Amino acid sequence: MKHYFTIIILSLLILTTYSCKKEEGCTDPAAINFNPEAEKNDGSCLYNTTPAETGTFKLSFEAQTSNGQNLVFNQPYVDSLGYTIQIEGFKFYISNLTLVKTNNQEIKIKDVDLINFKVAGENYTDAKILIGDYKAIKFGIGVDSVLNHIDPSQYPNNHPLSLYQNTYWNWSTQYRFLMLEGRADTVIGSSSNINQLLIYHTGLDNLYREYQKNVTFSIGLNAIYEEKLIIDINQIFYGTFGNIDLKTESFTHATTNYNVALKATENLKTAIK
Amino acid sequence: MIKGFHIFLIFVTTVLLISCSKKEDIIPYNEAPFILNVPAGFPNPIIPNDNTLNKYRVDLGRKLFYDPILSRDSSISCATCHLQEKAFTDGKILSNGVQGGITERNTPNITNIAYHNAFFWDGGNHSLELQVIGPIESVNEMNLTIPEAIERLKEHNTYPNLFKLAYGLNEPNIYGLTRALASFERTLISGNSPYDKYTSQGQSNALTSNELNGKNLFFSATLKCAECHTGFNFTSLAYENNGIYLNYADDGRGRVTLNTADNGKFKVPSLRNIEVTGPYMHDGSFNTLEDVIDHYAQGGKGNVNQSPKIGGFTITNQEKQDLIAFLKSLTDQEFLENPNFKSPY
Repeated sequence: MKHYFTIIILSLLILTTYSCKKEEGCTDPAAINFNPEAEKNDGSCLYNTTPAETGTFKLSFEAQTSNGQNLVFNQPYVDSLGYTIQIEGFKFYISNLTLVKTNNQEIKIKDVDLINFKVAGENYTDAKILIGDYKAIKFGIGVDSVLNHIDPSQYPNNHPLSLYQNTYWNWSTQYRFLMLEGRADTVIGSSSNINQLLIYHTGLDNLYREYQKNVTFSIGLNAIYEEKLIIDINQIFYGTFGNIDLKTESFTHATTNYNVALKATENLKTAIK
Repeated sequence: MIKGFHIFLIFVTTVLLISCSKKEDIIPYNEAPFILNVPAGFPNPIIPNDNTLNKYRVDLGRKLFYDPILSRDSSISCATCHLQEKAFTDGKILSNGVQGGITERNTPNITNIAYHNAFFWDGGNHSLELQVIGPIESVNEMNLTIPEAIERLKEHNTYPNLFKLAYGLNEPNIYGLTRALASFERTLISGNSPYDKYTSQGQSNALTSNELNGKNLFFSATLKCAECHTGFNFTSLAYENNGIYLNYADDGRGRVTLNTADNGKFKVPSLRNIEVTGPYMHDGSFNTLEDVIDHYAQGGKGNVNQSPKIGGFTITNQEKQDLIAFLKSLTDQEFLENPNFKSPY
């Protein structure tokens, strides 16, 4: 009797141990034979190619106010028309950062990022890229029409499109593309009354712009290549598309004062050098 | 010794059995189904796949709807401007937000909002879930950023657990906030007025002869009310310029489309519970239903974008009273008093 009991218990133990043995297989999602059921990696993973040889491409931006002076937030300066203004916020989105190889192959390395000049370490974006020779940099200014209409509540808090960035309007406009804010004294030559609020918030799918800079460079193995682009804020106000009158065109929310948003958009595109 | 071995074997077997059982989904979504009360004559509303209704979600949304935690100074909630007894409007021309803020437009009637495909008077938002963000962040309304709202909910005694029950979230987040409020709002369905009893429930005596006369006028080719206020919810959901001004201060739909042909157009409001949702129009400029009928009878002020459907008509005093009686037959007393829609606090 006792023997039967022992045998039953032992059988149960063996069965249990066997049935609950962890499934083995390839646990690396990057492998071509990835097994989502596998809990233990048995070393069978197969890869399409050997890991790519990459370096890092870094795209950084520097904002200047006038005469090549670096932007200092909240510090008044005299612009090219003689207005005293101070910049209090400056950020914008870039989308679809793409590098063009010398053989014309285009490689997208970033979907979207928020360039924020006011926060240290947020005036650039970077990404890994295949080593090789490149001849151009392309990106969109703003959030492209696909990303602009994705539900923003799904992103983690630190994502550039998260509502935590405070860049999204749930009414109509969706993401603000350019956010340039400050104050001005609207009397030329005067600096005693810097209280005219300046708010230039662009947005809307049709104000998305594509930017390209032709520049040749090479990415070496594990090396970092940095391309620095300079933005002259003076040219955003007084650019190739026309002047923004700080007195009568002191703000835009894209849908409100659309023509001012259009000027800021076109001027920004040509202000990036 | 053998007995000791048996105990040891049983112990090992038990441990193995427990340790190799699969992780269970402990969120009992399916144990709390929510049956939406869809009235006779109404279609089923379209509900997003990622936000199907369950009791936890609706309950959480209801708590949030009535909780002033979502306003900067914790003085107002959604329900401050959306009062159940007024079919979720507030009886004011424009509404009061925190710290002296005043809304730009009249609080919209959110009765049967589950059947709308765009939100706000100008349709500037296409998701009931995302619409939620607007009034919370608006400086003239609740003036609280969404990240600030989430921080408050995370620190709250009960909300973290309620978000977990409703959406399986480890802590309150934007996704859950927007979806829970939308879930509660989708339950605010009104379809049991005398008109519904007459039309869809076979109660031929539910409407008086005056109301029936008003009904005929309403649907007549002379008055054309039903050309815009059409269907079970008395709205085409289209944007129309109804000519209440020669020049509009508010461009309405034009602000969204940036097309001047849309200036002065606003979403056709549902007429359900219209008796209790005055004052009327996007700016609350008409006090009474009589004022509204007089406006349409006069044929509008002739704004450049005025709908051609508004061409004026003649109406006797008695007909006007009958028409108003019909409009009042759209009042659903059960909806206005439904305990499921009242404050849970």
